[in-house]
Amino acid sequence: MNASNPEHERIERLLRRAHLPEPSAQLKDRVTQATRQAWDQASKDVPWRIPLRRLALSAAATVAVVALANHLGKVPGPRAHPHDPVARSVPNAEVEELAETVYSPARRRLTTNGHRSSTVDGATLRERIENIRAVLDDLNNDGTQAQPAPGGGRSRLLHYRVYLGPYS
Amino acid sequence: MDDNAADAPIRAALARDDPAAVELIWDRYAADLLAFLAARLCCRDAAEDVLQALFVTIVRKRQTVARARCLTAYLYRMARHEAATYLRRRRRRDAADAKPWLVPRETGDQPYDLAEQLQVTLGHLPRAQREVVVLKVYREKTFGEIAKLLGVSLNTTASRYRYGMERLRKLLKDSAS
Repeated sequence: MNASNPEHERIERLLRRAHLPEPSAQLKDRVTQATRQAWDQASKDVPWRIPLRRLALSAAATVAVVALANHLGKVPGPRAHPHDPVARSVPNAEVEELAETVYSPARRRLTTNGHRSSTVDGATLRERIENIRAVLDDLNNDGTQAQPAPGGGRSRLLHYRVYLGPYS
Repeated sequence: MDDNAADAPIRAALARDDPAAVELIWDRYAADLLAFLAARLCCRDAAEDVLQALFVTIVRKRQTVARARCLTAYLYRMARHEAATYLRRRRRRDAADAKPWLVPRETGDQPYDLAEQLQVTLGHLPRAQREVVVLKVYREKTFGEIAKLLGVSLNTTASRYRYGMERLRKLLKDSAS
């Protein structure tokens, strides 16, 4: 990749009519003196001290970071404003909502773990209505006497009845 | 001579923490580094200041310099860094006090205006092109050597030189007309 362009050669010849001066002896003396001082200065830093100094600096930095973290941990955070858009926690998982998402992994997991959705099917509903009807009939017939539910005590309404008894 | 072989005495001196390493680096690299810095900064005084700062940095980081994979490229990278630092912190000097970084080859034979004109013309080149032109013309480096010490490809170096010469041709033509 040589400059074979005659125009470039002509410019090169023109440029070579001037030259860059070599470093002067004065400059060399100046640089030598400066480097000697730097060398002496650097030699005072004994090599084995350097890792120790780094270790000490690292330890100090670690202590500072831990102290700062502790300090920040004690400082109470800003009080939440009622209008601030904050994330609200949902107390209970909405399993019914999960039921609508057919391929929900959470639902699949719940199903495999034996959890049942609280979705009421028709048979259960009918059974509960029967229980309520029986309880109401009992109340109409003999309001003070507690009778077991026809369903064999499976309905939760029977337990409610026990608690509701004093108010009736 | 292979660069690694030529740098072996320098590396050995640095490894045994011998101050003679500075002298060896000076003899091998000072002239090229000064030309490179003059081309980069377009100022002889600035180039000398930066060269001094560079050698001080070399001494301070001599252990790292001794371990450099390619000493030539590493030193030029350090020179670029020192030049950038200088440009960030430079104090404006009076242009009249600044020494010319290009001088006529033979005093009296060539008018001093020519060197000044060439200096101004080279100053109009983009820095990357100027570095390649100066190292090629004034330090007689090959494209391969320039590519190695600048850390760019051979094609990039040749392109920079070609574009630089084209631009110089236009600038010289404009100044002549």
